[in-house]
Amino acid sequence: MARSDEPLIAHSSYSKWLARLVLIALAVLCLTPLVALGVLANASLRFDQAALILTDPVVLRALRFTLIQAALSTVLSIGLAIPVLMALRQIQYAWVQQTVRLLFSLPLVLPQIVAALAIVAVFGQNGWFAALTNELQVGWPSIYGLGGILLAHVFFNMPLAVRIFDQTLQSMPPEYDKMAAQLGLKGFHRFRLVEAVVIRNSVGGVASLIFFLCATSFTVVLMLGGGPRSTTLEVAIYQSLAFDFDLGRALLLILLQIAVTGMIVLTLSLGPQSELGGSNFSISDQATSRFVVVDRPRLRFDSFALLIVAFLFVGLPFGAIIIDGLSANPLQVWAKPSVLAATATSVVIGVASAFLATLFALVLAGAASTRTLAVVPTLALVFPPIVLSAGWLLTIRQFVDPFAFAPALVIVINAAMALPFVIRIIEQALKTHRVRHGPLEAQLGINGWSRWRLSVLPALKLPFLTGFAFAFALSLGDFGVVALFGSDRLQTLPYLIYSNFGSYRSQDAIALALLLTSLVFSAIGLAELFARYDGSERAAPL
Amino acid sequence: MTGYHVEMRNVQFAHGGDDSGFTFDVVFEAGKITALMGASGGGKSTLLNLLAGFLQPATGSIFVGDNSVTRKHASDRPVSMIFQDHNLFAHLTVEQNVGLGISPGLALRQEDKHRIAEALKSVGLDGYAHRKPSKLSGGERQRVALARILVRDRPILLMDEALASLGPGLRQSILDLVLKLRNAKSLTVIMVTHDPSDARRIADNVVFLADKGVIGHGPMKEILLSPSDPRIAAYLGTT
Repeated sequence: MARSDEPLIAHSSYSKWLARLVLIALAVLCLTPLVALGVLANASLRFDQAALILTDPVVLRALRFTLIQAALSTVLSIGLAIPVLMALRQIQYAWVQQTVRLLFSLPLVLPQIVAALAIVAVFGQNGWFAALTNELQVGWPSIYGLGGILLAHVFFNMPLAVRIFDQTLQSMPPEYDKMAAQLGLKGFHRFRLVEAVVIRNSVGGVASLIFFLCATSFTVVLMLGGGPRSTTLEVAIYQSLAFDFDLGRALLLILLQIAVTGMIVLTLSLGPQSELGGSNFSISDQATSRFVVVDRPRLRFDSFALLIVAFLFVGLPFGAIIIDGLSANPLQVWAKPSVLAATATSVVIGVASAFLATLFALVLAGAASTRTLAVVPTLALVFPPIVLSAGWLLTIRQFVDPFAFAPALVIVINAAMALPFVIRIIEQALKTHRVRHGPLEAQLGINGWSRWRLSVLPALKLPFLTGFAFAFALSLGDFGVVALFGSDRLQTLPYLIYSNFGSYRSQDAIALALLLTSLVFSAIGLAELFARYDGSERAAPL
Repeated sequence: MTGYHVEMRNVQFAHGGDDSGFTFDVVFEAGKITALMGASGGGKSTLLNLLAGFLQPATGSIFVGDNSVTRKHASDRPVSMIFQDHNLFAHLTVEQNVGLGISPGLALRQEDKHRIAEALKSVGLDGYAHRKPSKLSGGERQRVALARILVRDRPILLMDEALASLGPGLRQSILDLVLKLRNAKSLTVIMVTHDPSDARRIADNVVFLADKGVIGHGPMKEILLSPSDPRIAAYLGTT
């Protein structure tokens, strides 16, 4: 087999140059604001001032809260995911398992702004549970602050952890089940000696992923933080630019954010690599995978109850979007000219950034080496959307009216944010394609453009479609980038939702959330549907 | 000690999605090595999985000696099985993998560890106790699996193409090891193989599967050297 650092498709210098161009563009996108900010900081701040701001209690509090809430969210998400997963595996009915798996795949594509709104609709002081307790004359606590943030982060990441662990366990060889049955491994022993050890190897990776997502979570914290006590670095950057217009503080916060995320990335990349997942698990025997071992652990009442609670926890916010959204006069709200305009803007921005992301991903995945490809997600981690948008805003306002360039910047930054996901989908598909058809292509001498035309593009149109749909959905639901660039001149659907939520028009906000959710899930659903009715190579599940 | 025979009485089983099922009516002789042969999809693995208890027959009974095991759980059957691959949990050491044959909770006493060491010695893996399976060759992993068979001490040994991914030299040495085990413990061995030379080396009998059931059964020499059924001759390429 080919070495892992070889490019997946192209060897022509032409496509390699294209890939280099894309990489340079990405580097410019990420590093320009950094350099510009450095110059700006030098010009506008004296060193003693900088030191003063670094000891600024607001900055320190934001830093501490960022790390603490991320750590708590990670521990809660993983701590709950493992018992939920074990309960899920004990269910005898395949359709129940499939339903739970489907539900747990939905939060991944739900826009953060919609999730935050839905959490308020279910757990807020005017929400479903509060309505219940009001009947009983019992008070209901406010969720704004750490509580609400943790609820939302667990809503997103507990199902994510369940799905990743579930996939890890499903990648176990079928012989493991047979061996466990024959050797009489049951219940706790089986969990301890088999499942727990297999999961343990992916816990570190999943935990760092979740910690990152939560440490850089912006929209949820902005909407549910509810005050200076619960503010993360990202939200503090936003507030210092959007409200206080305190440039000095914004600059320092941005640099601090980059330093923090950069440091975590560095720490993680130095960590030990998992020993599993390599050669031991690669061969799956087609013939034996048809056999299903009859015995599963008996489902106990407590795991059944746990599963129901988890199902409701993830399902109710979706129910709230649908039910509350439908009862908020949606047609009337959707027909407003401002909403129609915002929808059109969102779709145009979404299509444009999805197109860019897919194109970039194709160029990179085809021609760059695997090692280079791994840099892209790292860049996206170190430079979260709010950092990029704040950095570019501060940079270009030195020269031009930033809001004239807002649409273009929103499109480009959104594309960059979607890029790691799209690359993953396309890279996986290209790998599979090379394993299946590479030798044949080589033997027949199909290469260059005819290889793309005859072999790669026809076989991979579905992964491309999936990647495009995912990038589109991501950009459609984005609030982190548009938060700073949005204005009366540039309103996307999430921006409109936020301004409605901010001015206490929660009825309108939830009706718009229903619209946004429908658009996002239609895009993903259509791509899924095409995939299901076509026999060519499937995209890897996310 | 003469071992136990294995009998399948009118055992019927159909995989989900298949139109017609298999019917197995066969007796495997006590203390003998029987090679189970036939084309792919002929039911060799299905037969072993039925014996091991990984699949439940629709009708019919399975006997080991005079006792029916048809309704017994896989772990309660007097049967051990070796697969082509993944016979060891990758995350456990060799000693732990063998130890699972003694205690499913891995509560190993000192004397158990001695037994494990003895078993490893007799399959030629002295001193391998604390290695992980990923550090072993394919042949060594199958030897560890045999060591577990030794400590588990069940009278029936099923081998599901256990040698298929090994080269000819390794195959012979493992086959000889199986023969040694059978002689020492009077094991009844049923081994699925594609390779007539495996059968010629150690098998006493051959059972040949085709057309959803057993079509040939007899001493190895009779079946392999002068097959009466044209389907067997065609499979062996001796026509």
